[in-house]
Amino acid sequence: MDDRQLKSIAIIGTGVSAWLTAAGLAKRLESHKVRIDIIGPAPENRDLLAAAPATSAYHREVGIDQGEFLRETGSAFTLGTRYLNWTHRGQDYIHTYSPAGRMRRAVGFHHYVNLLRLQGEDVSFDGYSRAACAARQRRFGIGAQEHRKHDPCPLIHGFQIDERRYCNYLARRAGTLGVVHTGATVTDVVLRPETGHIASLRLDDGRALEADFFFDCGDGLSTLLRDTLGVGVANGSELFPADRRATLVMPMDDHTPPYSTLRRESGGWSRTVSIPGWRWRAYYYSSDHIGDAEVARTLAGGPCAASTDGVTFTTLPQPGVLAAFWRGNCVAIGAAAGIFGDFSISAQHLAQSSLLRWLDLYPDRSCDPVLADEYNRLAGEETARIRDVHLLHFRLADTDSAFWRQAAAIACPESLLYKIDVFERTGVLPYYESETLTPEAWIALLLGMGCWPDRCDALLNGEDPDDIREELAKMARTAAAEASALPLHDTFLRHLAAAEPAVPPSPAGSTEARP
Amino acid sequence: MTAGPIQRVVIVGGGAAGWMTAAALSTLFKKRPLSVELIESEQIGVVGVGEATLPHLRFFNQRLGIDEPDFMRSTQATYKLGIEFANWGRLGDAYIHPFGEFGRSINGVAFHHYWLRLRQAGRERDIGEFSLPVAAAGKDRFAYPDSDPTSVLSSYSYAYQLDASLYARYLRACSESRGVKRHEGIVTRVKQHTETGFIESLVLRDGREIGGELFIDCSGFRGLLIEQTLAAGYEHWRHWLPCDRAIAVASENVGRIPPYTRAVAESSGWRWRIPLQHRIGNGHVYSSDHTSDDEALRVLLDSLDGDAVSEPNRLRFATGRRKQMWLKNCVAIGLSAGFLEPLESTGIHLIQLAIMKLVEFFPDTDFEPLNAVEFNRTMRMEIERIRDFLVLHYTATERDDSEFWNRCRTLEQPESLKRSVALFRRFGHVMRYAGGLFLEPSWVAVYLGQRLVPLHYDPRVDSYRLDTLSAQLTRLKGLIRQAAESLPDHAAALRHYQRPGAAADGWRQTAMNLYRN
Ligand SMILES: Cc1cc2nc3c(=O)[nH]c(=O)nc-3n(C[C@H](O)[C@H](O)[C@H](O)COP(=O)(O)OP(=O)(O)OC[C@H]3O[C@@H](n4cnc5c(N)ncnc54)[C@H](O)[C@@H]3O)c2cc1C
Ligand SMILES: Cc1cc2nc3c(=O)[nH]c(=O)nc-3n(C[C@H](O)[C@H](O)[C@H](O)COP(=O)(O)OP(=O)(O)OC[C@H]3O[C@@H](n4cnc5c(N)ncnc54)[C@H](O)[C@@H]3O)c2cc1C
Repeated sequence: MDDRQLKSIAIIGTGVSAWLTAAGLAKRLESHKVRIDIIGPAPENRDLLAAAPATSAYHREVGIDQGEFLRETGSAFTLGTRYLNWTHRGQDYIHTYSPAGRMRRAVGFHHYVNLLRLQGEDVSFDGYSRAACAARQRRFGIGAQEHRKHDPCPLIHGFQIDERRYCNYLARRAGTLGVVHTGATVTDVVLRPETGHIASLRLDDGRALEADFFFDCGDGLSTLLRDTLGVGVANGSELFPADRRATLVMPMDDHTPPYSTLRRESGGWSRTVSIPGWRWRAYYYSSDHIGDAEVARTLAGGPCAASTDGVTFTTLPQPGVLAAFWRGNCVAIGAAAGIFGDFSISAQHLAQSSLLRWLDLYPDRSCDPVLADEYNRLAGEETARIRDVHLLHFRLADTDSAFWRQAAAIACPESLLYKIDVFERTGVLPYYESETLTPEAWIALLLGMGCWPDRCDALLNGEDPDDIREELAKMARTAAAEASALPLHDTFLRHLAAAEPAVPPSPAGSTEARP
Repeated sequence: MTAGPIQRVVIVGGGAAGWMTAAALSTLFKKRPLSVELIESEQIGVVGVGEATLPHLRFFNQRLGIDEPDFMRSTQATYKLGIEFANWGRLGDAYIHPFGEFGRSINGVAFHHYWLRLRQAGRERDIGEFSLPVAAAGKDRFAYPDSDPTSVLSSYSYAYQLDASLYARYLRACSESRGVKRHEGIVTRVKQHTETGFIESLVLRDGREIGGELFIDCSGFRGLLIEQTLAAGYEHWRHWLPCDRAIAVASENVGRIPPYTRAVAESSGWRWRIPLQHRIGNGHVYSSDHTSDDEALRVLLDSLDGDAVSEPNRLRFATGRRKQMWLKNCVAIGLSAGFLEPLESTGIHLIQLAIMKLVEFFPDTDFEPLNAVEFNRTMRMEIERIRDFLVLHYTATERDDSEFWNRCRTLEQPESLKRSVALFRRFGHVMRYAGGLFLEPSWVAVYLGQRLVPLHYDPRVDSYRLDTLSAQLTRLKGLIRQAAESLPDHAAALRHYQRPGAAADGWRQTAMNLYRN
């Protein structure tokens, strides 16, 4: 028997990144007889997560059935993010995961809308999208697989997830697949003298845990990589203007919105995520600019809120990103790899893509640095692109308060300035390697932030604007009508819970062969 | 000056680049008032080579509304499933780089890792047996890919081998019918704006003067506008791509018509052999540091299957890229923009790509400079990735039988290529990128075809019993062999698909993808 293969993996942490890693590894390494341990006290979080559509792909990759996931976690759907107040008070647009619209194949949809705008018309980019209409009407529906294939603008969705139930679900799956959970904490690390790799972890229950490979999925920048393996940290505090977070979970008797909300507030921003019966809100702010009491009142419903009971406050950890994410036989995933604000692209999304990248490169027991270098190169690019997305918000938001003036002054990387500049002046979006957002998603975000190009695609030159106006108006009507025909989001969720067959099967596995 | 739409485009050059550009602009911009004029000189002539293409050309033709059977009849085209490389890794070796993938990934691990294990165990020899286009090419078979994605007959794409001069003529007819105005003559003077240096008009030898707003330089290697006028600069890559000359000659078609191109390594370069319907295109690409023109010609003539039917066409070139392909109001497309080896038939593809990007960034009369900046950035990235892939062909070799190969074997690769090779050499991992032409199947084909065999395959492969894997791969191999044998002969397919009224038959929308339809 060959002994190049990893025989044991230890995961440190019990947050969502850790359980995503555990469940993912357990499934993907099912036939490879790898022992997987996960170490850490049971988590106590009550956050709700907004998970992007890539979560479905991740679930598919690690063999999670979408119907089972929805039933067991009580999750809701999300069609996108609703942006409120970003470039002026009262602004309201929905950044959908689905394409905003489609006309002819050679020309990007935004050029058609921009053509009308350049003629002085008042346009809103989300007005032609069935997904945005459905979201506003709090409706949702997904048809059978075959129908979606021929649909030019299918409803692409992510999920709104209760983090605790999700962790429990992933933990059960991991447990069934043989993952062993130990509720201890790590007190010391023992290295192998020959290689400098980690040999074992000493736990506070007195045991030592040996493994061939270690995943640090803790909730602060990885101490294993920093203290034990000597990886540096690139500071990021200047890139992230908030230092505190207040959260509130409220019961909700309204229809569950199939979207999450990102709202610009005077001293920071807030995120709202909902599942049936509950609404979760978090306000991220800078203690230099606003006090806890005012934040609490905002969360609880406005300046004259009767009570601010239930609001909890946390000080955010100092932002920063590791200079390397994989060294020796240890990888950091999630907050352990970098903290730069769970803003529009979440740490949980990064955890998924990190694990898939690691599985793609899959080391043997020698943990050759050639693989780590490649992992670090790709992860570094991905991180830089996500930072671009985050900084875009600060760059383009309105500056009507001290906090937002400070945010706007954050120095942007050249990659982002170039992207904005080229888009504004040519109408074409520069696209780099390792982007998380699709070009369409970038464009919708830029337009939502009020960054419209000065010109349209040259192929539209010579088209009759009246024809385009008419076609777009028809699209808007169709989108609204089709959205109205969908069931309410809550009704759809109830059907799912009651009758299994209503769940569309997760797209028939992969087309892969199996030995 | 207020910006308005450009109304006059002038193209210099009537080779493949010039006429592809003219046809595309006159078709895609037919709704706007845009005059397209093209100047060419019969006296100067065209390079007249460039016969092997990539699947992407089908996409280009479709956007121009070109009917495939009609196009194939007019350009004497044949179908192409890939390129056979002979004598590259070692004398006597041969492999095909196909337009298709090898096998299918199994449980999240790429197919070639399983194959590598069986190879180590002595049970498999040739990964080409797991590629449908390789199997079909080996038997001279061809049919359009199946549209059913579950069928093994859907696992490939195809391109054309065509007569480049006929293609240019075909596009000329198409362009002229769409309003392009052609001028015969030699440009002898270029008038520029005294302050900005923007080109204002071109003066022909007989005194005619042709003015315009946007000028496309398709004048070939000389770069009449982009270099001789605007001095954009050239980055030379001869230290990576050592060949600098070529001789081309057509020969009689004798016997079978293979649905693939051949690239045979010689002692100071390599030879191409491209079968068309009416003749075979042959050429010898070589390094003038290592052999003489006479010797190169002799090698070429000795290799011909049938009698030569054209005079030898001698060409000199410098591998590299124009530092700025778009400068001021001039865009260089074709050989004027740079030249990579013809080894992987990327010449016409890069022309197509530049045209598509020009349409995307089509300027107004104010010539917003960022159009050029982003055009240049993305073209440069594409070209550099193709360059790395080409350099791999020269450096992944064990040949030590000539000065030329000693030089190639030991030359210092670009940093980006070094990283890719290191990753494959140790672990069989192909470096991933999102943009770029050649993806995993191509890299695997060339690495393995040229004896760059990884030290380790993915360790997960060891979890399966050798016999189980072996049985599964044997089954797959049989399936592919049978499927390939079920296809018609290439010559028969040519007749069938081009018969009158065949337009709708198998004529499908294509994707911009090398490996799938
Ligand atoms: C906040 C946010 C907003 C977004 N908005 C939009 C939007 O509006 N419109 C839109 O089209 N897309 C949006 N995306 C992107 C979308 O969620 C997916 O990341 C993207 O569609 C995946 O692209 P891909 O599968 O084509 O290719 P790749 O990203 O190259 O991924 C290839 C494969 O890798 C896997 N994979 C990669 N990353 C992940 C991951 N993080 N989790 C799980 N699996 C992964 C999947 O199997 C995927 O099929 C958004 C993402 C985020 C985080
Ligand atoms: C050896 C070799 C093999 C190749 N093989 C392939 C292949 O297999 N596949 C592939 O895709 N590509 C291949 N290529 C590349 C391909 O041949 C070219 O990309 C393609 O032919 C385009 O050439 P062009 O139009 O840019 O230049 P040319 O064909 O050189 O055309 C230049 C034009 O400019 C005109 N001109 C120049 N100066 C003036 C002037 N002063 N006044 C007026 N007119 C002027 C000429 O008359 C001519 O019409 C190969 C190239 C070489 C050298």
